[in-house]
Amino acid sequence: MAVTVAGTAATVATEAAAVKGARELAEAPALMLSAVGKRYPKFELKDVSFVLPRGYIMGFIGPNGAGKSTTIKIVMNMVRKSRGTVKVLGLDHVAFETEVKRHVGYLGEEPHFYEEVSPAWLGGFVGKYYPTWDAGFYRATLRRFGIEPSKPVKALSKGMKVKLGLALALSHKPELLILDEPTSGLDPVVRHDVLAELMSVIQDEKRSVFFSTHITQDVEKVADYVTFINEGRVVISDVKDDVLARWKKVSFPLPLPPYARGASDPARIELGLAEARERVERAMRGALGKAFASHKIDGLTFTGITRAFSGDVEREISQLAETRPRVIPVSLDEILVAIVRGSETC
Amino acid sequence: MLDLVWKDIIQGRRALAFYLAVGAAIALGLTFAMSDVGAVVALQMTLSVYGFAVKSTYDDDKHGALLFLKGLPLSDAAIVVSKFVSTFVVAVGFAVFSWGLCVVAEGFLGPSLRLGAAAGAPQGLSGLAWQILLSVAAFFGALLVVMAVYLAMFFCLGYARAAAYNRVVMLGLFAVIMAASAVFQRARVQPPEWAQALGRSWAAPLLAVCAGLAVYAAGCAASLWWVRRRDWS
Repeated sequence: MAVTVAGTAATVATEAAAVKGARELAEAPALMLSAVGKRYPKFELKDVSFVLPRGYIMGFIGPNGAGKSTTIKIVMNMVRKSRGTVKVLGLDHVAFETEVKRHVGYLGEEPHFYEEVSPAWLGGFVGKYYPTWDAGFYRATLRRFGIEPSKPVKALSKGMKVKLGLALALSHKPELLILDEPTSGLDPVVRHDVLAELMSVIQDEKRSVFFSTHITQDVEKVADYVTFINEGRVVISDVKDDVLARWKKVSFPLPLPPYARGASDPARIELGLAEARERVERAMRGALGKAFASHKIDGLTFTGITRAFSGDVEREISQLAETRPRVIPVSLDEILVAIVRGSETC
Repeated sequence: MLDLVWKDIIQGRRALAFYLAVGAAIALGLTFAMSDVGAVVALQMTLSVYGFAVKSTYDDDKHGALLFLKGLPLSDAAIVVSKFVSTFVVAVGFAVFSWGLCVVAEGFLGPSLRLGAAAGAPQGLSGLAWQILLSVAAFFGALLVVMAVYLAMFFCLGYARAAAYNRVVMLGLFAVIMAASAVFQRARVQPPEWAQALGRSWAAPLLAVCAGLAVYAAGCAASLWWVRRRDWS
């Protein structure tokens, strides 16, 4: 009797642990990278870390060669990481590779398919590997995208192949969609269709999208989170609106010393200008400079992009400029350029 | 995994049909030319299976099929082993086809048309079938070794280098066999009695098939070991 009670208690404990484990998995982030690194002879991915919560879209932005595709291939275990941790839907991406991939829809940079076969055959082939494959949804998506199911894949244009890849990636209702430059090289109409499809995916709040691009307008349109990567290093990873709130373009006229203001002597003006420039540059080398990603002094005007705009920063700039600076919002495109230019300057 | 094997065979169906037709044409041609069918058909079998493997890996390389498969919920083992299994299935199919073709050509067509080396063969049909089976088995063992080397090189080095290196390996083997046979003929050396006995028994072909299978399995294991360590891009 005691044995039976003990056995029942053990079973209940095991079931409780399983339920707790399942709940933790269900609540785990869609994608989590922690200090992920990969070393190549001429390039290194350095401590890439970010988290994509469930139900959101994250845009992964960076210039060509920044490490976007390498990161995505590491997540898909196509490239072996040198160090770090990758968890997809709460599971290790290597130890549970096939299990993870059953819940992930993936479309690579260059859509690879068997070219001699038809989209209908491809759907039948791919569908066998996903328990949740919805053949009706696949056929309907092909129809919606205007893809002829019986036409050989090799006869499809690049845009159509991307759409076919998207149809294949979506038809098993993935919890996480991973896309590597899905809109690169597409005409505006197809690009619009692809982005609209991404938006429709997250209507289901449990589904998430992670896509890389160097077209920042796409991220501005659809993403909730944004991660910037440059030279193998994550520079920013945050909520897109917070990033846009922090990053501002600041400009002000150089504060000429009193002896140069209103002077008509060119030498005196030149001297005053050099002094003002030196003063601003000195400030930029100090604590205030840390708030700027990039800056330039062009003639009589200072223009910079700040990565941490706040009331304090504005006050400091006002003191330096001896006037209220002009602050305007920046686009993700300008942030990307500032990051790349900033690192080039460094 | 069987889906992948079937996919490989379906994908290479045109090439397979072509190779089978060529094999049949060669067998008939040799029969009517009153020549031995066995060796040439067995050679054709080797080249056909090699051709199938090259075509299959070329298609995979051209379309980035391995990357496509890697995006699906498939293990590395399923991707690698399926390629070895599909080539093995084709090799067995060709071996059976070649054996049947030789038996038909030498056992039926030759005697009935009074053509070929088997026209007046003292042995019966079952003896002939057995003798051909032993020859085909020996070729089959060698074929497995060649295929194991090629597929292992494909998974380790990629299509372009594997195809180039394997051509060198095959040419080298051909040159060694030709040179050895020329040397033996010139020296008029008779193989020792035990070697002649081995040639007539089932032991040598069985040994060849077993050795071929062992090398094939080792090639598959080496490919898998390598694939699990390398990047797929």
